[in-house]
Amino acid sequence: MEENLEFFATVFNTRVADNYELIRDIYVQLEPFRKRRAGKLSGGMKQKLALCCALIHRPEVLFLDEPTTGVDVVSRREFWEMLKGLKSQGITILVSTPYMDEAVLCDRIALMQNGSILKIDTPEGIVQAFPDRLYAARAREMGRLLQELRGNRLVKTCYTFSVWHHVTLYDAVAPKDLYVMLVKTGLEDLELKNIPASIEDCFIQLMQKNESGSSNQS
Amino acid sequence: MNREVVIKAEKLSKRFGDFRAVDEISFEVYRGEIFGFLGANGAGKTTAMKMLCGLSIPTSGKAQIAGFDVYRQTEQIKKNIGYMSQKFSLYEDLTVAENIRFFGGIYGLSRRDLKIKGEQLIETLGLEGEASKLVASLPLGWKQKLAFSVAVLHEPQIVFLDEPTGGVDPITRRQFWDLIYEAADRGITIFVTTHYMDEAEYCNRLSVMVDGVIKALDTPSGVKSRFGAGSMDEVFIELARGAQRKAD
Repeated sequence: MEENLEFFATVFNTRVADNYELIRDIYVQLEPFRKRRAGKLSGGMKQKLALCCALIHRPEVLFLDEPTTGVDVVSRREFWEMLKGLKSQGITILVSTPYMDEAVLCDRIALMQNGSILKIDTPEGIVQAFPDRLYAARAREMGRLLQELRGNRLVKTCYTFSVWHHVTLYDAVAPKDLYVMLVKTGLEDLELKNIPASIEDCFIQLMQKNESGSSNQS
Repeated sequence: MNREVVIKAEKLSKRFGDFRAVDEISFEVYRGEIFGFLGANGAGKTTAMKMLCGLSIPTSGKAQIAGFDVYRQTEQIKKNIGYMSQKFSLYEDLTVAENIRFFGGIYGLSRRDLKIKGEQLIETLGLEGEASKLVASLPLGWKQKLAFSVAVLHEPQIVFLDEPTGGVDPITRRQFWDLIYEAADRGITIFVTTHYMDEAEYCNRLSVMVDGVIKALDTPSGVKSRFGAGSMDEVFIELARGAQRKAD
């Protein structure tokens, strides 16, 4: 482990001691394994070592390509705490992620699809620009509710969102009309409420708009 | 729900020296059920799955998969299950048709079945124009659909999905879950791992593994109410914080 760090420092013509301050918080977690071969480290530790090696020459910009894909919720939180620490030391971080809960933690987000950037804004800005009224629906039978919503002519889009389905309606449609139609199908314990959009709702909307846009052209 | 048991594990364990990778786990999975197998990195999920798939012989305990014993009938197990993971599922440098032929053959389909089912599959997926293209050239969403369809081409009783949606965008993830529901409706049992907690909610039942042990096993709402949690995220963090082991 130690050899890896020294090797990367040497490649960048610097010494571990010169920039130790930057990696200290992460490195102390690794220290007990100083003499261990990198190949014998656990996945989480390897990831931390890789981060130290990437930082040892005190770069101005740190590029992270899906650093948390396949990583569990708890370790992901720890990783983002480390990123916060690096940011406070003035390092610019460009990070890609498929997790929308991580997107919210960024200062600004760019959404990219098929080689072009669909939008760049702050998380708040993206959420505020959501163009439709958004509703959350649930019922005892979630599977049947999903089918009913997808087949309903008032419904513009419908996506599963853990214990809710998120629904947008066509312009001028009153949610009450949808509610009544759904009740008539015999769905029990039906709830339909207006909610603010999340980042995930916004990305789905933007991606879908882009998809339908490109398929119209072809 | 049908209560026919298709996976039954009793005190199933795997030790590597002193290390108890999987420590006496017991559970049942029913036919047609979507069973979520959750746990932090390093909790022992992969080791447990390998035993259930007949790829690794347990140190102790019992397990039956589709009625076959994990010690003595590993070949029969492999014929009756499908497997897909995000990390490895298709050969990128083979064409769509070649992948179907290759995996169908491995899963034991006869040459005749393979021809009929392969053609059917390409038609159902609308991939007629892509059959002779390399898998590498397909968009991720199609690759995933194909990988899943190939894993269930031989109509297995159970399909094991190891983080099938890791690194996948929000729309493609949801389309993938549509496939899971369809397969479950056809009576295929789904055994799935994921790090997306919204997906945990789509399972009929789920288990959470910590340090080789199953710490919770119930319906999503049952697990949440037991921990007084509003979301699966909270349950997971509560359980995984107590973990002694660090990552895989």
